[in-house]
Amino acid sequence: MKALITGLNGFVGSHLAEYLLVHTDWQVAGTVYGPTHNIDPIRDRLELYPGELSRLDAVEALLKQTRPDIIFHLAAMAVTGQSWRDPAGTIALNVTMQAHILQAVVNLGLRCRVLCVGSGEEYGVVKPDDLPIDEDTPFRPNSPYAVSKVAQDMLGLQYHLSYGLDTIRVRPFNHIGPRQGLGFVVPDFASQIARIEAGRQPPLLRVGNLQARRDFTDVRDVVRAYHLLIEHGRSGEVYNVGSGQAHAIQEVVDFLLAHSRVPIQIEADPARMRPSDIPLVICDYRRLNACTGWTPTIPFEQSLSDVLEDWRELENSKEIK
Amino acid sequence: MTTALITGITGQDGSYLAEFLLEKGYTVIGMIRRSSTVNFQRIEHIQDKITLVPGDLLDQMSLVDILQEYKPHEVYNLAAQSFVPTSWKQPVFTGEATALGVTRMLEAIRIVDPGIRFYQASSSEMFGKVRQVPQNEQTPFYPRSPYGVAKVYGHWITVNYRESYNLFACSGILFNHESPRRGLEFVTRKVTYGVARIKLGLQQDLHLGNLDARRDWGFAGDYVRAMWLMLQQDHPDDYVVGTGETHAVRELCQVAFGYVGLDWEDYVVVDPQFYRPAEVDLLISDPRKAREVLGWEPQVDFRHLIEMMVDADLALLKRENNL
Repeated sequence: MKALITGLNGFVGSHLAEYLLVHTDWQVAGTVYGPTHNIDPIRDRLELYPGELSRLDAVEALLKQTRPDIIFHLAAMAVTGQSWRDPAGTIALNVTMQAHILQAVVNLGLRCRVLCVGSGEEYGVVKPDDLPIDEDTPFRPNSPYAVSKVAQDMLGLQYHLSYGLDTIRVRPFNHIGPRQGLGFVVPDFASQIARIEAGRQPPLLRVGNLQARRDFTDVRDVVRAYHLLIEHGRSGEVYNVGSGQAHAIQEVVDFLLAHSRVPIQIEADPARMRPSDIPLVICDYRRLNACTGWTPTIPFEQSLSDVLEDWRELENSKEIK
Repeated sequence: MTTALITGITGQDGSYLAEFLLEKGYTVIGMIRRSSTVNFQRIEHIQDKITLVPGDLLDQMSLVDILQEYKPHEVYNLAAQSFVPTSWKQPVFTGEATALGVTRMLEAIRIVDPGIRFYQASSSEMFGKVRQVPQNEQTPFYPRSPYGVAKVYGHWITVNYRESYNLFACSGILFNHESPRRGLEFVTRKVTYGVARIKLGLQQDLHLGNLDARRDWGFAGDYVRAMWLMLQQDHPDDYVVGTGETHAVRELCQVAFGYVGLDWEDYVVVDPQFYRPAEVDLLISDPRKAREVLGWEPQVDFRHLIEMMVDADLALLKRENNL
């Protein structure tokens, strides 16, 4: 078996590649875009290609060469905040890459299973009686990023309906863990704390809306769910991936401050307030659980602690240089 | 009249650059090593329009003499020990020519006329084990051969002389660029030459290594224009030059054989002898800065480049074999 991971050097892709190398005997290939340090330790065991997913001919060439049995299409512009600054660019890129992957599979007549990655943000503005959010909850996307993910999700469905393509769609909720880049709430806080500890930032933590509660899942649990769905998921089906547990952003801040090595003050930062925020998000992952037996295994505090350590290591490595 | 000095004028890039500058009305001086055994095939057709002078990047005084005598306005340093496998066998010589040779030329410029504009031929080989995909001017270097290491030195000493002495010194980080004048040891030429021979009945098959190896291939004629553009700006700077696209050796075969009406799969033999295990191909350029600042765009795309090379090899072989 051979798996192709697009966006392999990204936050989720690097964890997925590690997981597959440890838990399967699959060959792992992938496309790479941006800095490659995430995959340095496993690089020699991977077959890597430049990410050229915005050209159909390049995607076809990639699939011809790699002949994957499974495609994990993770590559996307993934920072919601950024999508406000460049809505058309985010939508065009994410939708184009998804369409090219699916169309290339059709054009080449490949028999392979394609995991299409949507997002819990597709549900957007949820109402209290929508909670917990199951897969039948209506979409009310409230960011250009979320709209791009709805479109990707629908492309996955359409290619299944139109061509019988073996697609599995997932809607992962907030995931956290080591290597997540800035632009997401947990690394944004953890990096500031590591910088303060290293004496590179005044002891002042700038925060946005702390009351919002989100469904957080550790990235290592998320990639395990993706693997289980490839093995057991139903063709054409869509699955929520989330822990079913909501945590207030306040809890993230409290945990990190409690584990900081130096005293830190909190300051409200208007730039970190999103144009629209939703008070509570809880994922209903019963469909995923019924299909695969998956439940989250890594406690929230463990994830936060690992992320903080990750940023401390980064700050320390700067010192050595 | 503007005068340009080109080191490495007998090479692929040197010959295209000389043609390009002659068309612009330049006086072109080409530096050649006295002991050089290289052939002059690539500049035969323009030999009466250029001045060839002896000089050596290993000999500081020869560089000073040339600059004093010919007073060039621009110096293009294309000469190097540029063959990667040789750099393993002659690492010290490679460092002398490819790395320290740059310093010698910069020193000569600083001493003779700091107003001379300088172009250093840097290479995507400097990215080696790439740290970032695609590669731009900010991507850290991680060279993987004595040649790559020497080129990194050449790049930084160029930057350093620009910053230390305010020289107009530019480093062009060029990705693979091909042409009918490419050496036969390079895979593009190996394929187009092989295709031409097969088409003419001179050869039965073509032995290649990894067909999945991918490169960012452009046309050398386009790339020398980028070199010149760098020296015509208001400020000196460094630029990545490439197409921003990669193609596999397999596609190269498809295009080259297809162009002469043959099916590549009937002729290409995959030979493990040429196979490098676990080849990692992440070299791909991000040439946005060259596009935006220099207004540079490649004129010849991958297909036309390969077709041009096949045409040239067909003509060459017909001439050689009286066909």
